[in-house]
Amino acid sequence: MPRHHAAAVLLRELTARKSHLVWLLLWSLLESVPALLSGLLLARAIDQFLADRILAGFASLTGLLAAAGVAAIAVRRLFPHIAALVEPVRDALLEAVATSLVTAPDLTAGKLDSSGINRMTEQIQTVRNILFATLRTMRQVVFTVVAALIGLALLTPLLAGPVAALAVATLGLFALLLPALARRSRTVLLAKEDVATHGGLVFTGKRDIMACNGRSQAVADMAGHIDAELAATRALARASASRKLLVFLGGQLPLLGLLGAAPWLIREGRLSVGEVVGAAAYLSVTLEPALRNLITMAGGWGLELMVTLDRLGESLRPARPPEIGDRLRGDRDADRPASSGDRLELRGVTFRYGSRAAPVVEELSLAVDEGEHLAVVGASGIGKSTLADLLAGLRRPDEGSILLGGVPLPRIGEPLLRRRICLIPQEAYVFAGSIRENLTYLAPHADDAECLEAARATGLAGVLHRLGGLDAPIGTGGADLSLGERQLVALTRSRLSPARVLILDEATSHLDPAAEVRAEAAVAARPGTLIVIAHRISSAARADRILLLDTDHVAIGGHDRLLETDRRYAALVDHWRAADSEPSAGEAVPTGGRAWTGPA
Amino acid sequence: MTPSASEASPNPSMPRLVGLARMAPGTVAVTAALLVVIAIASVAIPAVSADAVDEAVAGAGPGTALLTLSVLLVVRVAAEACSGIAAVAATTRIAAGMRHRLLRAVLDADLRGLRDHPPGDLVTRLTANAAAGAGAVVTFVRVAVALATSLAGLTALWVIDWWLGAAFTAGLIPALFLIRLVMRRITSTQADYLNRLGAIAARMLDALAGLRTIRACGTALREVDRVLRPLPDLVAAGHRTWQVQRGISWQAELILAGLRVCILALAGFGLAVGRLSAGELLATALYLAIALSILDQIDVLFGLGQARASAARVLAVAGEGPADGGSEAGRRPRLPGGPGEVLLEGVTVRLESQTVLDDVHLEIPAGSSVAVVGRSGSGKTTLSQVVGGLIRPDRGRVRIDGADTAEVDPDSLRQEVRYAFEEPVLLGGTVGEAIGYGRPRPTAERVRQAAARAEASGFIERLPAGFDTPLDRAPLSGGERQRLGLARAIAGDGRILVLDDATSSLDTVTEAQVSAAVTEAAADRTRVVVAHRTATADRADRVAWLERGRLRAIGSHRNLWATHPEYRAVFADRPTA
Repeated sequence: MPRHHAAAVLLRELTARKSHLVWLLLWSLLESVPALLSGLLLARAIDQFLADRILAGFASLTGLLAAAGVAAIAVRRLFPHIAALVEPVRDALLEAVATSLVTAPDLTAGKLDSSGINRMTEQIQTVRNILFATLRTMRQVVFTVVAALIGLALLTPLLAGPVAALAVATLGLFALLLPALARRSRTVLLAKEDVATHGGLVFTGKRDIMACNGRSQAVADMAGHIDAELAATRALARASASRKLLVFLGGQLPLLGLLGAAPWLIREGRLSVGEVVGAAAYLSVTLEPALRNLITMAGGWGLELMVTLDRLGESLRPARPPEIGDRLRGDRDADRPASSGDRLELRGVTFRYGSRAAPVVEELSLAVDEGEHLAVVGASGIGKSTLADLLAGLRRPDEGSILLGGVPLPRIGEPLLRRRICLIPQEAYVFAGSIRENLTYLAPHADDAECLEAARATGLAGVLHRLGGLDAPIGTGGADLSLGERQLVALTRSRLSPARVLILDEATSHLDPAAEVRAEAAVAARPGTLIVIAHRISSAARADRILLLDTDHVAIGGHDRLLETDRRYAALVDHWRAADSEPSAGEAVPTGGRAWTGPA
Repeated sequence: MTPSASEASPNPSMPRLVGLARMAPGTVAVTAALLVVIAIASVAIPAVSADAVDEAVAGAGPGTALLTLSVLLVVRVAAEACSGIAAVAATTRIAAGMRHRLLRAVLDADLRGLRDHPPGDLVTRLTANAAAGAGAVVTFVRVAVALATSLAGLTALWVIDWWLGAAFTAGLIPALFLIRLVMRRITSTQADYLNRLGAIAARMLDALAGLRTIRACGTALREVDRVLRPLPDLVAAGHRTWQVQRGISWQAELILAGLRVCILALAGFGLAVGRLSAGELLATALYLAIALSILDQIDVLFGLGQARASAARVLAVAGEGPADGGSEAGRRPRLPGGPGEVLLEGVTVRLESQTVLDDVHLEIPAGSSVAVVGRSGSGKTTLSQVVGGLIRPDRGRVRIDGADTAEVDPDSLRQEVRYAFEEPVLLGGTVGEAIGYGRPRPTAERVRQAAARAEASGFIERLPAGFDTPLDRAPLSGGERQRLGLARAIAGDGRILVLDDATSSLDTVTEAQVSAAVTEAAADRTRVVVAHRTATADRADRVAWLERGRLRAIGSHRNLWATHPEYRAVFADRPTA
């Protein structure tokens, strides 16, 4: 099912619009009137012209024009139905992509990156284009083939049987070829993506490739990918060549047969001269090009559509399984056990990124009381962000449990949990919309006064003033804001949030120390628990208690006590201080280094 | 660079197709020959069919005409099958040639050369543009042959009966005009539509960047709505494209049908008055189809323009030189051995109109360390990159152990000057490969040792598969990436080590440990360290203080600190962490 997710979306959207399909079918019948009548009218006209009934001949040909007029009306009527079928498919696919993007179950190993998103919107566009081409052109061609066969049957029942049999045989053989062609197309597409992915790496890492003397390695790696794509594309071309032979079977062999039998048919009086020409016209003007187009299109677009849907479906793999949807909507909130208070408790929590990996968090037990201010410190890479994710319920521990108000996190309904615990990560999320929308993200009912008050408290007021107030638009990617300003937006948002447990994961890293003090104070002033993954020692010193994570041990306590009792913490503070402050001038002794100003 | 390629294009933005065709001359020639065979057969078939009909009408048994027709049809179908294969062979070869050229050009240029081309842009050139551009040659041949075929079809109409030719020619002109007109409207509505689709993609990128927030806030479903908010605009733009296409479709079909019926009526009249035979009337219908196929070529011509523009985009970066000619730089002598003394002699680097480094003279004794200090924008990174030839100076010389680096084989230079960066890009499939990236390839033992020195062993062991963890499955923080970058620099055994703010994301404890380990591991190497922290500057033997691209002073950190208030101000510039 997941791999065919995109195809399922396509089918669902098409079958949901049966009336449009029926109308499309009806107008298609009218649209193929010229194909049906062309040979018949031409044959009649020729026999009339040969019998010197010139006006009757003209009248027959005018019939062709009338048929074209009917077809033109049908085309006009067809289009709205095609649009009504194609557009919802695109909308549904966009929605599926957006949904699978924001509900991807794994935060780190998601399949989607920025190029992935661009690729997916391109794939959706491809689906739309092919679907249109299929409904517009391929549908028309199919009807043309059928109409030409019917016309031929009306003109010369004798020929219609063998011609139809050959056409069916052609399409049957083609259907047999399709799976192999589809496989090869897929290989080509994968090879193309491979070139794009690895090329992107080379271009992003050009500086590093040069710096590592990796030029020849990079060129050799890429040559492998480029050659693989070349080989795959050529293999597909070789496999596709057989399609041309099929056109000969279905489109050209019947013409040879007709012309071979024509002397006898005319001699025996079975066909008139006009009928022979009309039949030849059906075969070579209508049927052969139609079959040729049909096989080319089905082999080209059809394959591309299949493969694109397949790839799109793969990217959508983490698409919302039913239970996630339920969790998000909170349908089952009613069954949840009630929890009391907001005490956050870890009981023997162990977490690792893979079964073979060393644990990031091991046997950690800890309780954070309601209203407490806890700072988490430790070397980079020690697992502080992982701990933040665990506390917020974004990752589940491999062993042990985390409880909020006495209830394990997984048993609290997702929506409720999200209202009670709020995590602000280092990379502040600012989206396209007004500043107000960005600030009230977690508190939709906050009014302007509350927003302005919060902005003043965190220090965002200046930015607000510069941009022109709460209604000022922010572009995609938070274009007009610096990294620090984006963090201020996120912090102001967190101040407005009703959550009782707030976790800041280095959320002030781009602020200068003074701005950090102010913003952190503004957030700490709100009621509830505050957990800060600290970026500076000053931030840790402000907390009630400090949790120190180290490779071989964990310590918890107040700043002063830890400073006395934990050597590692003391070292950390020492280094932090050294980096934050200036060396005392008294220690500065000239060490004999030549001090000279650069030559003018 | 072949002389023909350089002088071939008077307008460099549009490469000459000949230049592209030279990348695969054999297959292009075969493709062209096959297309010509197909065209000749296609033009002959209606006439021979007419003869066959006339033979039949005359009551003669299946004769030479039918035999000829069979041969023609068989030849054509065989040529079609082969031409498909040949065309792809030619196109893929040209595309691969362009890609190799592009890659080499990108990797050979110094870091300034490609500032205007972000990676995404280059990927587009490497993939979509190279593929589309390579198609230009075969498309051109196809269009040329198809136009000739259509003209032959038109000529055949004139030959069958000049009335037919004249009527067709007269009717074709307004049809061409109309179709050209509507094509323009398609293009503009299509562009509008694609822009709106891009707006939705941009919102998705926003959501991707804020994924952790979205998950943490439980706002996923609202995000879907937010991302899709511009959808109604997209739908409206989409419907406008349908409107335009619908208008074109029915009008074009009606016009073509009118033209066809007029010609057939004329032919029928000719049949009645004896100017045409029945077979010739069939031939008229068939040649009409061939002549009308000229209208299909408008689309293709339009596509040809786009394909050439695509090729131009690739060649603008790749240059039009030969793909496989070894670079001239590779034949220079290798960097001679030595202890690693670095000497900058009046080095000046300009970026567009700005002077980034201005006449810098600096001597770094072998085995010593120098910290490069200065406000942001003072040229610290550029100075560090000049040392290893990542940027070539506009004026002045960089000597390593006495050899001018501009005169030596760049690969041998890069082997000896190793870098670690603030934001390293990790290359290779796994964590272990990322550390061992580049030539000469270090042993597994050396990789592990380097990881340990960079304080990276601990977190690598916590990864799902340790050193064998694929990079795209390794959840790495900024500090962890930096340490892998450091390990990579240590693993490559060069005589000079350049650390460009390579420990900025580490907390100070880890930084101190890493610095100590690196100093120990690289005790005999010359070290150039771009520093933002006082502690880092303090650890270096000497400090080179840059101000707006000029070397303001050189000396010990403590000395500079004591004597220059402006020097102290450099460190107040940005928040320390």
